[in-house]
Amino acid sequence: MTKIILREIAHSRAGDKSDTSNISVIPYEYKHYGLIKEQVTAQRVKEHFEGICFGKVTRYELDVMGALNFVLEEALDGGNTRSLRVDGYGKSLSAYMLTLEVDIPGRGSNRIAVVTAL
Amino acid sequence: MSKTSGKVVRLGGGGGFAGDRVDAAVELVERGNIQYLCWDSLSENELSLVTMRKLSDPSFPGYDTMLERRMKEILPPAISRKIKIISNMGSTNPIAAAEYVSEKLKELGHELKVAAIVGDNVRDYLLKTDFVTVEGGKLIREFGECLVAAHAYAPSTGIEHALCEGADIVLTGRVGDSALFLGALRHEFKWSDTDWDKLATGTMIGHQLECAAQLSGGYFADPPYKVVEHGHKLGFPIAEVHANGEVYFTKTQESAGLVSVDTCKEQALYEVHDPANYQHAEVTADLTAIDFRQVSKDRVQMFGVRGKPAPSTLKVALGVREGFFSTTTIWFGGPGARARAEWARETLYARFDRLGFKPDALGIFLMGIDGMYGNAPGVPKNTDPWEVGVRVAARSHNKEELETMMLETAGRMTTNGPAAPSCEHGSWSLREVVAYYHTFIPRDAVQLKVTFMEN
Repeated sequence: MTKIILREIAHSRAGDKSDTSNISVIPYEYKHYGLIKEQVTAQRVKEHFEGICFGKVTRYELDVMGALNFVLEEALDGGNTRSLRVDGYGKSLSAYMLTLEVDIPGRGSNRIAVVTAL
Repeated sequence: MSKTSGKVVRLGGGGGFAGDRVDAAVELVERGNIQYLCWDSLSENELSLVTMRKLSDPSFPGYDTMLERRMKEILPPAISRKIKIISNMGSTNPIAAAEYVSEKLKELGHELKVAAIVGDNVRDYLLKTDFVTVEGGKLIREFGECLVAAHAYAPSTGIEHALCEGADIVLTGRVGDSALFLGALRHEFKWSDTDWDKLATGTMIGHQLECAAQLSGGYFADPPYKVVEHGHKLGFPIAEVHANGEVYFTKTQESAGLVSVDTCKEQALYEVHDPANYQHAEVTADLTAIDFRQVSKDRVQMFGVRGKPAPSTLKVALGVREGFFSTTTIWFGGPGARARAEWARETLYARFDRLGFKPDALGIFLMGIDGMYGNAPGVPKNTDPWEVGVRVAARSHNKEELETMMLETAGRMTTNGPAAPSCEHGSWSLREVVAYYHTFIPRDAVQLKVTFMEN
């Protein structure tokens, strides 16, 4: 097993609604969905976001597409219109989500996705 | 064979927020082979900001500040290609926006049908009833004059109706963002009010396009993992919808960016909470079986969107005046930057205390240290960056207090603070807070009205 951060195998996008942030975790390859689903629990995300999120964390699973959607309540310092944070929308929370560590079988992945070339 | 069988409709996403790029929308019109340009320009709080501007400047017409510049660029290429434009750029005053566009068209020598849709403004209704906010359960009518704006997320029915009556350009206030797209699709394919899977699919088509470049390479680059080249000329996205239910997302080949399974998946979950119950004015979308497949370069097919009945209520976004907000940043660089920045932070806290300030909220952040993620467990500790910013952010009902705090930070911290500070002129700002709340009201509280401009 190798410890890697999620960014090595997954991508993420954060959205805001009022004081709630939703942060997706989407593996680049479906084969990693299982280990992410097993290891990246709502509880771990809640702990990872200590000091940022003060409410409940709910995890939704999209088994067909292969993605998790985390909904973090009281995570935006009152929401964009009130927040003292430089990122009131919490768009940068996706980058932080991807620092969560997971164990991956073997030597790990150093996937570099070159997704476009014009 | 019904009228719609074999039909293919192509829609373009003209923008993702009030200030979005215009050249990408023009490119979409010129090269996208689209029939509809659906142009979302109203973020969650935009109507409150527009209303605030109207309060301070009675000559301001109350529609999107970008409308005039955008129409100047988009109308000539759109008219020559008979592309219909649907936009919420009507903002707080769709009628005035439609009048403006109608005049502009006459100047260009065209007599197209321009429609305005009103009815989303429910401020008066809420001041006479007993609804409470979802945030904190506050009685809305007690906001009184501080309630700046209250607009319901209207369904697409007004847009559909306007198109059926022959509208070429439809300007709305608040509708569900995706309704700008769904209205065109309902008009083209005559989906019934209870064809939940189709309505949900149409809603998700809108959802994917309503943030424009967020589907086609914007809000995405993260090198070396996610590479986007030529970001200065990203194309905006196109949806191609077939009568048989097939849906494809694409963009023009001349533009940069990408439409991939990865961009589509990211956008599909953007601002979604429970994917089994993604609620809209006309339908509740179920995304649990949604999936995407790359058909060819920059062409992705969407599958598996299902629908079920809409909630019995409509969502309303409120804007409430809640005092003022200020932010000021000064910087420290070179060896010991962090230590000097920490010195400044401690001193500022003590200083504000000494001056007897009692802001509603105060935060002093060290940019480069704890400025974005605080001290959350995953944040590296004991780093010593070469450059550190000290950012003071505060909310208060006392504007003067905030002005003094800004001066204490930006000005007085240079002569009374640590060595080697850096303070850029203009690196402070003060604005009024128009706080966002939302609530839900019965559907029949909103009566949409379509008005056509006289040619």
